[in-house]
Amino acid sequence: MTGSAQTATRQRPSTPLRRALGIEWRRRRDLLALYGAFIVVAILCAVFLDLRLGVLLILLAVRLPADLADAVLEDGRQLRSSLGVSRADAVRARTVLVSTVQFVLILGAAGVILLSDWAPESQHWNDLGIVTAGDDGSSAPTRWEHLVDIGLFSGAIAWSHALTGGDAFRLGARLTGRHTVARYLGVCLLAFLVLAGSMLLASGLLLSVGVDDDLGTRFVIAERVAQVTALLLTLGGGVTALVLRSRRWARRA
Amino acid sequence: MPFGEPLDLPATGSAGSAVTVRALDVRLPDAQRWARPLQHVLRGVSFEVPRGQVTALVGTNGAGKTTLLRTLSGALAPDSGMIDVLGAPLGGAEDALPAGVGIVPDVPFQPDHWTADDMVLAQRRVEPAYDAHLVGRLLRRAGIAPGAQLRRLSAGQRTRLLLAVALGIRPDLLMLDEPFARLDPLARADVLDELREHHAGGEDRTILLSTHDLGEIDRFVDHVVLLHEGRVVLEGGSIDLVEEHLVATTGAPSREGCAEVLRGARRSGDQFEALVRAEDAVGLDQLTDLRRPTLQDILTFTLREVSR
Repeated sequence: MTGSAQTATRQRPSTPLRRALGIEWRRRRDLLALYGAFIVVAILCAVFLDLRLGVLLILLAVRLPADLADAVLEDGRQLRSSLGVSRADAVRARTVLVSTVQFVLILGAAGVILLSDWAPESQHWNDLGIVTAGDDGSSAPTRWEHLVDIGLFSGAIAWSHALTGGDAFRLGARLTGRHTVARYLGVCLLAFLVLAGSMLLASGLLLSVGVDDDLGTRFVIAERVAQVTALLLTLGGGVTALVLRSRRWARRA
Repeated sequence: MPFGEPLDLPATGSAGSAVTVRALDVRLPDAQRWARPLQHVLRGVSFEVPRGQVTALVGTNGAGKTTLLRTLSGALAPDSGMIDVLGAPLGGAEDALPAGVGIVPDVPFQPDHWTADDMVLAQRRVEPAYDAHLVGRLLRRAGIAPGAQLRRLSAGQRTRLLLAVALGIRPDLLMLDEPFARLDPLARADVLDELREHHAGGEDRTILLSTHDLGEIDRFVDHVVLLHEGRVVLEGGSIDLVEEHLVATTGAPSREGCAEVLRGARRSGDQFEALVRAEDAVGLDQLTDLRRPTLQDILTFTLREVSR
């Protein structure tokens, strides 16, 4: 039998991406199981206790690109290549795994927010680690506002993944959780500025076209416009940036 | 030149080669300081690993052997050049190592909490017809428990384990990085026996191993590639190389017409010893003693010559 004929008869039993995902899963399943347990605990705490652990789930999601990076970059590369995984598929598998686990953690955090018993004076922004000024006992946030918050921090997580994911492949364990959290906070700040800026702009535009401000109509419309704009830029932009950047990481792997 | 840009070379490896490498360039970042410019580790490396033979990749420490083997496994991205492994192109981001290639690294790349069972399981999922029974037999012979974690094994046992796991693939191509470096003489003999047994098991079974010292394995090796500072400085069949060279011992190496053909000369008492090509030995003084070199002699003299 010639070597080439022998090679042709040896086909691997799975697709490269499945192999890559399998390797990632087997290497990280203990950590991921721990995260799963933590999500359950956080949701139970939100339902039965006045203890909101959503911010911890968000922090775990933010840190994930760094936490799942290879401790020794060369070892991870060699392990994957020895098991027939191309460098590009290794990048794709890691990105899919990180994004999926981030999504599950976000769902957990969203569950914590929505299931918590919100007191009238509480601030839903607490889950973002951002404290709004002038809490004077105004009414509790509505479900829409919660959903906007969830969308905003999800988008910020996607942005931070897009900004730090490439470093995880290049630097491995040199990329620390602190870096990812710092970038996430930077994105949150920008999202807040977009929200506030959009609101001022929309309010100004409405005023210029003569929308009446009786009963706060102009404020409500401006607020909705600002929320949708911020969501588009943060969530839509974050997911798009992540997809585009992950393609680039795979090309450059 | 970017990877994949056509070279004035064949697009794939030759039929008689398990591995073909052409004009391979690899630059790597400094492991300690990322801000430093990339280091040019491999420079225009070209060689072939004949199918069914044992090829030794020889070179001093830091010559680029490990980098080359890692690039041949697809773990490192080359800057330019062409690699063909068992008929499959390798080097591009989308290229994966084909089935039937076993890899034995110098230091295990598997997580150190993995056991032999974990390693076998990982290979069974990706290799068709993985022979776990053979691995079990080899592990018993080496006295390694299947449940023993990598971190609890000695360096020699790790090599035996990695070799057993790779042999379970029944590989058409087995690549080993310094397999004898951490072994005591007894374990070295056992590993060599296992390699011989594997190689004798099929005509197409190719072995590529790196070493900085051929020592006692020179009779096991059919083909040699000598690497120095990232370049191939000598390549050829072991028998051809030995037949093509002589070691000349002379008292006057600097005489006209003589010094040019002597390579890697070294002083040995009052005499000078150097390597000379067999066809050039005709012109040497009759007082020059000539003897047949060992493979190790050829590599040592060549390295001395290129190091000057």
